[in-house]
Order: sequence, then C-alpha cells, then structure tokens
Amino acid sequence: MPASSPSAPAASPLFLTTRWSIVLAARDKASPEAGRALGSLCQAYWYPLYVFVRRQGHSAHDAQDLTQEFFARFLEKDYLAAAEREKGRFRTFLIVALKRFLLNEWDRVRAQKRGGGMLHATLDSEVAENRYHDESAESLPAEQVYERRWALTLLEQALARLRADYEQGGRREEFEHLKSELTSPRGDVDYRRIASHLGMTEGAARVALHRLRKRFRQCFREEIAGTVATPAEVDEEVRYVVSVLARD
Amino acid sequence: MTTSETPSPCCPRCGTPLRKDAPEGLCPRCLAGVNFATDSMFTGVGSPLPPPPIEEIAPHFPQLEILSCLGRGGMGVVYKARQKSLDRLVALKLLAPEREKDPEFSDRFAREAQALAKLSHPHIVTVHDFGQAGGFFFLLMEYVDGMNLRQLLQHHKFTPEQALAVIPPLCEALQYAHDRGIVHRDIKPENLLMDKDGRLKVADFGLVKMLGEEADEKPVGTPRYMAPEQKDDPGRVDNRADIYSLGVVFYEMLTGELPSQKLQPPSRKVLIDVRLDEVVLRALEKEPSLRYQQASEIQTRLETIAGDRRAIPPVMSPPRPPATLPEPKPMTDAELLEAARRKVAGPSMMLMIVSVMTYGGGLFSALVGMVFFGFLGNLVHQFATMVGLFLVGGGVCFYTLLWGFIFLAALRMRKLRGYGMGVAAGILAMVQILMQVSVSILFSPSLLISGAVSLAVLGAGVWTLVVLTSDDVRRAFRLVANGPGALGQGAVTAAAPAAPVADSPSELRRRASIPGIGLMVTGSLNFLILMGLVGIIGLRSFSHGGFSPVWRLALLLGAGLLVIGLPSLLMFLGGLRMRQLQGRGLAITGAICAMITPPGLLIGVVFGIWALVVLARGWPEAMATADGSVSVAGRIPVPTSEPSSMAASASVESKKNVLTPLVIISLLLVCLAGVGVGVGGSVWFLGKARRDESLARQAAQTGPEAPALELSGRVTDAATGQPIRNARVARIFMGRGSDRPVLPVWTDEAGHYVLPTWDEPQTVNVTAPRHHASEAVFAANASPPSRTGELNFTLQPRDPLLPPEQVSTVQVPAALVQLTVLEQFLNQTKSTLARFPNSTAGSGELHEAFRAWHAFNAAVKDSELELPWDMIVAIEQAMKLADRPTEARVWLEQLPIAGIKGIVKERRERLEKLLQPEAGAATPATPGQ
Repeated sequence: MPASSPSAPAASPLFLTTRWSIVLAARDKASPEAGRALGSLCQAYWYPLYVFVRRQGHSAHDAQDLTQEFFARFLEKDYLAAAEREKGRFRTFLIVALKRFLLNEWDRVRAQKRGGGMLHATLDSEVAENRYHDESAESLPAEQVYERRWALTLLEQALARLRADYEQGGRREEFEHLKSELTSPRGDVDYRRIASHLGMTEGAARVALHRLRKRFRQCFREEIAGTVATPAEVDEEVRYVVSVLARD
Repeated sequence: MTTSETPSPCCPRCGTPLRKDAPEGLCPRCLAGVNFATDSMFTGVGSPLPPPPIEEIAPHFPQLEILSCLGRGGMGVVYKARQKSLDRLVALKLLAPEREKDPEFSDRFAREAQALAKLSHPHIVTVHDFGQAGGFFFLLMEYVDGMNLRQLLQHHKFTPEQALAVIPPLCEALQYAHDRGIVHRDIKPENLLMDKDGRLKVADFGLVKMLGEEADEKPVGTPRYMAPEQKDDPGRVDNRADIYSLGVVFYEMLTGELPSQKLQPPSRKVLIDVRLDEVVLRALEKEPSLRYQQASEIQTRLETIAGDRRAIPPVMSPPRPPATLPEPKPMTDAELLEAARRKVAGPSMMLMIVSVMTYGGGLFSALVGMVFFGFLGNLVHQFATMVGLFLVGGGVCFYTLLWGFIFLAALRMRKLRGYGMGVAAGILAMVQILMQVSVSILFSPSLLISGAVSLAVLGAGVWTLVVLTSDDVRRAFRLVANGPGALGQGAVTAAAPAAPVADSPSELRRRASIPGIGLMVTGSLNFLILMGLVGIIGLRSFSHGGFSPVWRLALLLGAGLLVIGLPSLLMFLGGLRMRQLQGRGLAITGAICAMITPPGLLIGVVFGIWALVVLARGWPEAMATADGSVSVAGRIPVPTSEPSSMAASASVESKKNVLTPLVIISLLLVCLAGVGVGVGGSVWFLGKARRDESLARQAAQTGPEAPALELSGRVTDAATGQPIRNARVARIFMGRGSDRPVLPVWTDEAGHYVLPTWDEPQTVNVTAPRHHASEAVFAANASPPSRTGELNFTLQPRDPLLPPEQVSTVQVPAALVQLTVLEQFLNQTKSTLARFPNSTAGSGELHEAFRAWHAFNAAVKDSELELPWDMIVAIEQAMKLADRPTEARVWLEQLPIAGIKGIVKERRERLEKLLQPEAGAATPATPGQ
C-alpha cells in the first residue's frame, strides 16, 4: 500500500528539525524542501482524515473526493498560509484545516469548476474504504476516531520503518520472530524459544530484543518528531498519543 | 502493510480483540505500553530471573513459614511469611542473588542494614532482621497489610484532602530518617504502603544505596521520580533528593499526572488551594538549594495552609485516633488579623481589578453601542435605537452603582471592614455574570466585554465569598468592627468556630444604615418612575384622538400601583424599619421586592442583596430570644459594659453623619441621571413610534398583508429606449448593503423572480418593512443576457406623508453591476486595510463591506461572471467569520487585491465589447426570443 511506505529514509539521523517545522518555516516562500516534507507528511497521514470525513456522514465517494480535494488544496499552500494560529502540532493543524474545509463544501464545487483538483497526492481510496469498513469503533465520535486513527497511523509508520530497517539489513526473519515480543512485559519473554528459532544463544536473543525495542522506541519518537514544531514538544505528544492508544 | 503470519483474533496479553489492520499484527494498546520515554531504562533488557519458588527458598529459612510471594520490585522479591517464634507476620525480602560472591557488597549490605534496623518510626517499615541465607541477602521486615500508593492511585483518583493526608506522615518519616543521615533515594508510590487502617508506611529506605550501582547503565532510582541531580551526579545526592521525589508524588496525587517538562502548577489542572502550588513547585525546584531544605518544612507549611479551614486529616501514629480536629494552635488577635488580611488581600484585589475593568468595558461597550446604533440609525428599526438608548442610560446608571459598590466593598475589605458589603459584593459579582450572559444573548455578543473578564468576575465573586465565609476571617472582621476584647478572650481559638459573638446594636445600626437608605431610595425611585410612566402614557392616550376613556387611565394607574407601587412601598418601609433595627420580616420583603421590581431593580439588586446579607448576619429580634436583654420597644440600649466599643461606635457614628448625606445625595444624583435618560429615551421613542403607528394605521386600512411600499417599474432597452418583451427580472433586492434577504417578489416554480411581461409600466407591490425608499437598490438581469436594458422604478411609500421617489436606473446585465460592486468592495477593503493596518478598528467597516458583497454575490450567483476561486474562497471565508472581524481580516489580507482588480478590469472590457455590437443590432421589432 503506497500510503504506508516509509516516507523518509529509515537511516536518517534523529531529527533536529522536524518535517512539520520545515513546512512551518517555509510557509511564506515556496521552497521545494518544504513541499516535499509536506507531501510526505500528507501521504503518510491522510487515512485518519479520510476516516474523519467518513464519520462526518459523507458517502465513500464524497469522502474520497473531499479528502483528495483537501490535500490538493493543502499542497497548493492555500491553507498553510493560515497555519499561523495552529502552529504546533501537525495533527491538530490538519484536523482544524479539514474542519474548515468541510464547512466550505461549496468551495469544492467551485474549485472543481475552476480547474482546481490537480492532485499531487495519490491516495489509494479503495483500500481506504475497505479499511474503513473494517473499523470497529463505530460508536465513537468523529474526533476521537480521528485521534485514534492518527495514533494507529503513527504506530504503523513507526513499525513500517522498523521493518524496513530490518529488511534492509537482511534481518527480516529476526524481525518477524521478535516483533511479537515488543508487547511482552519484562520477564515474560521466552528467550529460549526465540534463541532456538533464530539459531542464536539466549544472551544474543536478549540483546537482539533489546535492540529491537530500542529501535522501535526511536522510530516511534522520530515519527512523532516529524509532526510537531519543536523537539521540546515530542515528549508531550508521545504521552498524548500513548494515552489515545490506551483509551479503549 | 505486511500482514502478520498468524493474525490472532484477540491480543494474547490484554485480551482486546485484534483488528485485521493492527500494525504488524500487534495489539496497539499493548504497544502503547512500551516505555517511550528517552531517559528511562528499557524494561525488556536484563530482566531478572523469575522469582524463586517458595519450595526453593523455604529450606533456607527454617525459622519462617513462607506463605506466599507478594511480588517483585526493582530491588528484589518479597514474600509473606510467618515468623514461627513470635507468631507474627513478616515480609521477607530477598535481594540480588547474583551478588552473593561480592565481598564488597556483603560489607555494604551489612552496614546499611544495621543503619536501617535502627530506624524506628511509626511511618517507616521496620527492619526486624537481615542476613545472608542460601545465597540470598535478605531483609526481614514488618509486614504491612494493605496496598501501596500506586495501587491506590490506580483504583481511584485522590481528592486533594486525601493527598494532603498522605504528605505529612511522609514528611515525618523522611525527616526522621534524614536526621539520622539516611536518604531514601527512591521515594515513589510503589514504596509508600498504606495499611488497612490508613496508616502510611514508607518501605525500602536506603535500599538503592545498599544495592549501589548495580546495573551498568541503569540509573539508580526510578527516573520519573528522581531529582535532576540524582540523575546527573548520584554522588551529590542528599536528603533534598527525597524532597524532590516527594514533590513528584504529591503532584501526581493531586493531579493524577506526573509533572511534565513544562511544569504546570497543580491548581491549573485541579481545583485546589493555590497555596499548595507553591509547596509543590518549591519541592520540585531543579536546584536543590531552592527546594525546601527539610521535609519538616513542608509539613509545617501544609499545616499552616490547612490550619485555617480544616487541619490536615491526621494520619497519625498508631493507634489511629478517631477523626477529630487536631488541637488548634491558639492565635493572638494580631496574628488573626494578619492572617485574615493576607487572606482577603487576594480576592479584594481581584474584585477591584475586575470592577475597574468591567466598568470601563461596560462604558466602552455602551459607547460603542450608541455609536453603532446611531450609525445605523436610519437603517435599523427604531426599536433597536430605543433599546440602545435605554441600554446607555440605564446601563451607565446601573454600572456606576454596581461596580462602584463592588470596588468600594473591596477597598473596605482590605481594611477588614464592611463584612456585609463584602459578601454582598461577592454575590453581586456572581449575579452580574447572569446579567452579562442574558444581555449577550439579547444583543450582539461582539458588543460585550470578553468572556474572560466575565469569568474573572465570577471567579472573584466566588473567591471573595469563600474567603469571607471562613471562620477566622469573620472573626477578624468582627474584631476590627468591635474593637479588641470583643471576642471574649485575647486569644481566639478555632475550637468554637460558628458560635456567633453578639454584635453590639450600634454596630448593627451602622451596618443597616446604608442598605436601609438604599432600599428607601429604590422604593421612591420606582414610585417616581411609575408616576412618570403613567403620566406619559396617559397624556399620549389622550392626545391620541381623545377616545381613551378616563377609566383606562385609572386601570393603568391601578395596575401600575399594584405591580410597582406596592412593592415600592414595601421597599421604602422595609428600609425605614431596617434603619430603626426593627421589622426584620418587612425588611426582608422589601429587599426581595427591590431585587425583582422593575425598573428600579437595576439599583435595587445591589441594595437588596446587601440588605439581605446584613439581615442574615444577625438581628436584634433574633438575639432578643437568646439573651432576653433587648427591650421590646425596638430602641436598643447600648450596653454600658462596653465602653471601648461605645467609643469606637461613637467615632463611627460621627463619621457616618458626614458620610450618609453624601452617599444619599450621590445615589440620588445617579438615580436621577438614570431616570432622566430613561424618560428622555421614552419620550423620544414615543415620538418615533407615533409616526410608525400612523404608517401602520394606513397599512391596516388596505388589509393586514398590505405592503408598506409601492414599487412600479419597467424594463427598456438602453440603446433604443424600447421596452423589452419577456424580460426576466432575476433579482431585486433592497436595503443599503442589504442586511435583509432578497425579497421574494415574483417567483415561478423554479424560484426565479419572473415578470410575465414588462412592456408596459407596471405597478407591483413589495412588502418592504422597516426600509426607507431611498435605501433600496435594484439590480436586474434581463433576458436575453446580451441585451442592455433599463429598469425604472418608482417607489411610493405607503405613508402618504412621504413623497414618492424615483429610483436610480440600473444597467443590466448583472455581471457588469456585479463587477462594479466588486470593485467598490475591493476599493473599500483596500482603503480600510490601509487605514487600519494593525488594529481591529476598521473591522466594523470591513464587516459592512462583507455583508454588501455577500448579499450581492448571493443575488447574482448564476451570472456569467467568473472570478478566481481562491478569491471567492477568501471572501467567503471572511464572510463566514463576519461576526469575528479580526479573523476575517486574516483571510482578507491574503487577497491579492491588485491582481483581482486587473482581472475585473479585463472582464469588464471583454463584457462591454461583447455587449456593444449586439446592443446596436437589437431592434425594437425583435426584442427577446
């Protein structure tokens, strides 16, 4: 699925400047770097928005149109100029901008007539609809669904990076075997089994799992760092996302 | 996303159903449980071996009967056991099995354990024994039957009171250990045990140090509770590190969260005494030297804070005493006054600030209202003008009185005087919020003072009331009012909180004086206004054709007397009797009447509440039953046994003599001003209304639905002057900038406004309420659109007094008109933005411009005019935000005005070129299709 392919090279160093902060900084001048950064952000995080639009009661078709239109508009920088007050989190900015956009569905008709609708983001809407149907959180309000979806997307992105990392290093099997232990509480890990599966010593398995966890943590934090304006906000956002995930 | 190999329906760990799209087939919820914080150890690594089973360790401890494994902490495994010799339950803690061969550790263990075993404190888990057995270092400790604080915190959120109950014993325990040179180093909820009786027991004292730097990269202690210096430089750690950890625990108990990087005071998150913020924040200072230096300081501070109201619920040494208030510390008068002064300083200052702010804001908005209504006066219905005027007149009067009163009360409160006034001011501040809200519902919210101020007012009111109703503050006020010794003893004890000390009658009289006068003034004022109203209405009904019979006036007078006059009388009498310290019931009735009877309630509400507060505080009649010393005649003799208070009251009396007339005069002046504005407004309004009525009467003669405006018009070809057949009139709308919807004048099924044929001059009826003829603007769209045409309208207002009016001719097609309007809009926007570059001052004008544009745009939506969509978006956005001009401005400022003007110009030229030849080619013989 194109939407979830890792958008930044997994080997990139810890972000000093986040993707979102690049975008924010380059709001006024059209820098290609910012365009790319924004494009990759949108590419990665469009699904939560799609879910939100669907939850607002739009049909699948309309929701696809609206989401695409929204991103098209977004990438054309019309909305970014208004990012002044939502400076801060990409997550909140997107949803505010989207709500504003949905208020003006009228604009959409207008825009299409005027030859807008040039898409820069390719969004796989069919997959989206299938996924949407699998959603089970039917009873939650749209905002919460969005937040939850957002958090899940962050996890997906982080895990996708992690996987890509391992696959690049030719350690795919190690990843497949170890990943389920990511959620194991300490002391619950059967190192012996892992070691025998992977053909290594128990100590090595211990170290391998430690590395995986460490790398996963790093990926997750990096992913979040990409969506906030300053590094100082990362911890808070991590806490928030974790609280969203733990909610239900 | 790659699917996992064996997607299981449920998470094997937490049992949550797993969705198909769970990332990597892992449960998101459990993933969220991974420790994502950077600065803490990773839990998966180097995890210790499973706890040794009971059978395995039992042989090593023959003196014990190991009962069960209680769990494992960071430091080791704990078992519940029975000590056979003493038949008591103990906790057996096994430490660091991997250290058994380390002689250095063995020494340190012994040294530390000896020190720990010397600690004997009700709030510290006692160490009974220690040693080495079967390769284990072990500690034998007191068994605490209960839960740890972590478990309790997970069960429910602590109330501030519960949190406050935990800290003092913790401080005691820490202070005790610190005095003996032992630092805990790992204070956290897991180590704070609470037994079944609610006693706190601190466990694991000094264990961290005992175990030393055990793991290579593992910081010693628990990161989230660790003081900064403990992380950076463990060697520097002293007792102040424990104080930091205590701060974290305290913060967590109060807020349910750990302190974040950007530390927010707990009172921002939960409703607690703000003074607790200071304690928590000081404990959490990054620099040890800025923290409390001793745990006992925290305890002392908390007791001071809680002491005023309710002392900290004791979690005292066992056995726990029944929940009683602790022995209050006797306070001297001076201390009491000082404490009370400190307490009232905050709310009174806040009251003063909000009163100045709100008063200023109120006047400002009234002024804005006047300007606003005046500006639109000829447009908006006269009613709005009248309301605006009343708002200004009544509002100024009311506001001056209300906020002046509150300000004065706050001022006096600071000197611990005027208790009743203070309480009344608190209540008024809260009541005022209701008024603000109701006013903001009635009128445009943008005219009102921002909600923040309102909230501040509410807060100030609540705060004031809370502070003023606390016992010691009340005593302090009484002390100031009655002089020293009035409270009986020199020292005040907190043990008799609510027992009211009898107020001297002179004091009562002094209190009752001003509210009494206020009630009387309110009553008289109501009566005056009533008479005035009856007079005006009566005069008017007589002058109005003279048909009104006298009984109508009499009925009016009677009803008015009943509804306003009677309550006014009650107010007056109530006030009078109140001043004589008599007639409590009458005074209460009067006060309530004053609060509910219009129009005097504007000031009556102030005095009513004040009077009620004074009446509620104590009254001779109530006291008479208590001590029987009060004479029935109502003239209460000043007891001779109180020479000092008599002298005090005498001086108050003399001051009052000067003050009272001044107060009365100024009140009267304010009231008269209000009455003047009100009556003036009424007269003016009635004059206006009369003309309206004559219009309405004429309208009534032609039927209930008859229009107030007559309109006739025809469409002619501008080039040839010939009438156009089958012209379709797309839009007619009225109003300058039209704040009214487009009038549905002629509509077919499709909702278009259609005139069948306009080749003859026609008269059509348009209902155009509240509009003057001169304000009508017409735009029409002729069909076929290529033809230029003319619409000539004659407006004939239904009021025969007004002359008919020829109205401007408007060019068609509408696209051109639209362009013109757009151009005007852009010009106006540009100049407004230029004139007010950085303020919201131009917002009103922009607002107007948006409205004009919006109405117009709606009217000609189906025209051929094409505009760049981003511009339409911006304008539409601005429109949607029209009630919030500042935000609208943000959108508007993005408009590339020069570019758009270029586009407009180019379109106009194209249109005109298009129209020119066709208009010439059109002949009178073939108009239309």
